[in-house]
Amino acid sequence: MAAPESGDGNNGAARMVTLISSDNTRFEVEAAAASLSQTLQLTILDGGGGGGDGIPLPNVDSATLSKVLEYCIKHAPAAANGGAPNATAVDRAELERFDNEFVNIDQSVLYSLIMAAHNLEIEGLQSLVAKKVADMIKGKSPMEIRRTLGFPDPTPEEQAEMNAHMLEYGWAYE
Amino acid sequence: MEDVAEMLSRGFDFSLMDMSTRTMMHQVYASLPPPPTRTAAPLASAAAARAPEDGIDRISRLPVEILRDIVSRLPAKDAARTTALAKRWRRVWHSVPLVLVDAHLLPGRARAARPRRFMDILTAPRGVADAVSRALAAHPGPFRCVYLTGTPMDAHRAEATLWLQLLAAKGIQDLVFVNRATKFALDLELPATLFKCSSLTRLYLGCWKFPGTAALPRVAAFPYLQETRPQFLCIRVQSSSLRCVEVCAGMVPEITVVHASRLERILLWEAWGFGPLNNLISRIKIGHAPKLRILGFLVAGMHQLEIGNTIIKVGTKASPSTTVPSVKMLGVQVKFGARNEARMLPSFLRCFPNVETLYVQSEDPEFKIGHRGPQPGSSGNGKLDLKLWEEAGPIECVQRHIKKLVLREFRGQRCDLDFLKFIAERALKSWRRW
Repeated sequence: MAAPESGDGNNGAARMVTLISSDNTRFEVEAAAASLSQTLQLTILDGGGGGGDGIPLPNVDSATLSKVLEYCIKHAPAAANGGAPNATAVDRAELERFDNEFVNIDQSVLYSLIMAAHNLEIEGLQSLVAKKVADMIKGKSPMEIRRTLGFPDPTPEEQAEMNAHMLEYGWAYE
Repeated sequence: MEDVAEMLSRGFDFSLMDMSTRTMMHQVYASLPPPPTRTAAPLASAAAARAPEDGIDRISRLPVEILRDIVSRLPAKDAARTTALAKRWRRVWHSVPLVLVDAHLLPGRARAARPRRFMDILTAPRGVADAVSRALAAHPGPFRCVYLTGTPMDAHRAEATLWLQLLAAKGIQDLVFVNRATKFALDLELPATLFKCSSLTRLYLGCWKFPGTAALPRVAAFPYLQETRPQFLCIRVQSSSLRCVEVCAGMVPEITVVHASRLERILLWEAWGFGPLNNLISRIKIGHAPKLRILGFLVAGMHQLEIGNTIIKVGTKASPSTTVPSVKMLGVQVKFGARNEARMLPSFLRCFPNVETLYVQSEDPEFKIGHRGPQPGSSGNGKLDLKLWEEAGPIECVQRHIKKLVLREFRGQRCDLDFLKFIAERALKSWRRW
């Protein structure tokens, strides 16, 4: 059990770090929020990202990064509490409501977000976006899934395979 | 938890059950551990997440470990259907450890709007058993988690044995194995094949009769088992990996802990003994369990506690061979109004000298079913003379260690208050030091 004031060794004002997106936009954000990313956490612990330096993120564009940081800022306080054992049901419900709204987005944004969460290793976000895609798949036939996820129309071979699959995996279609 | 219980408590066979069987199955289903996958899709909102019209299949370009992560969150039916999506998806489900919840295989769940035909309802149980067989055969393993709960096993013995063979061969870790009992008599023996599933880490059993030890294979061992929740059976624990034994609404005539070097918790809730209804007996024998921290609820009058080779009785003195010093949290259920039961409480407490947290559930002395009814010496109106507690003498944990006392369902009758007074007088000295 960590003492409430143990924190990360900074006193007074929260430490800020700068992140630079692939299109050279600078984002200044609290170190605690950016540290939700396992990848960034190491750099930040080493003292990186402060002052004028900034941490370049060549794989993440500014639109995606601002979305990622929106998530991190919202989740940082709960994460700082070590999974928030003392979080109230209201806090948890509020985070859940935020998460539901957060992934209510266009699929092109969703996929950039999936890749960013993967590259930056933000565990909570990785699981949230995977859950989102899983929920989009649930209860649908392969054809409906293809349509929902924006696959091109199936080739005749693909169509034949889908039909064969239905026979082989009959139990999954009952 | 998603309502698997509700999915299972339907169907033609369920409506044919007699009242007590239906009530029992309801309870068994309601106390199932929550499954890792759900059919509910709260994030689906298809309108907002419309795919761009450019015909680029973005999702299939994602790294395969992300596709695996997505598929691992799907119920088995949905997960298996993804193998038909496109080339890149064909082997994804096969490379993700299987999670199979048989309730999710019930016919008609894929398209909820489809009207159920009468024949569907009639053949529902057979349908689930068939689907389970085919799903278990289709996946190469390993099996992370399998729920087999919707099949009346007495009518499907051959399948049940086949399933267990597949589970054993494909490395099952987490198994929920419940017989959908169609009558109240719990006489169906657990297939001995279960004991071949040596990879199990968590086992939940319901509505089974444990086979006599003679019928068991010589080497019946679960070297990795960490948690078990059986219902309706005798348990003998001899394990160096088991950490938790939990019995909830189960009939357990005997729990014997022979040698369990990592066992930490024995959780009993509505763990009934065996015998005539007004005199159920359940033996709890504790041998070598050096890490046992949590024990309860012990029911005074029903649970016969045995430590080492000593049966704990009223007045049993504390000695190294009759105590379990590792227990820090103890739960006891007692009718203070029934003298013979209340007198067991000091004896129980003496067995666990280092208890820091004590839960006491006070029972209504008029309530007869479950364990012994009003005893000789019970005055029936909640009176109990304080002498009983004075006779108890010093009790190590009460005088030195108890830091927290949780009282449940206290009625404020005189016998309840006498107990409180007894605890307060003895523990007060140590509480003052806090």
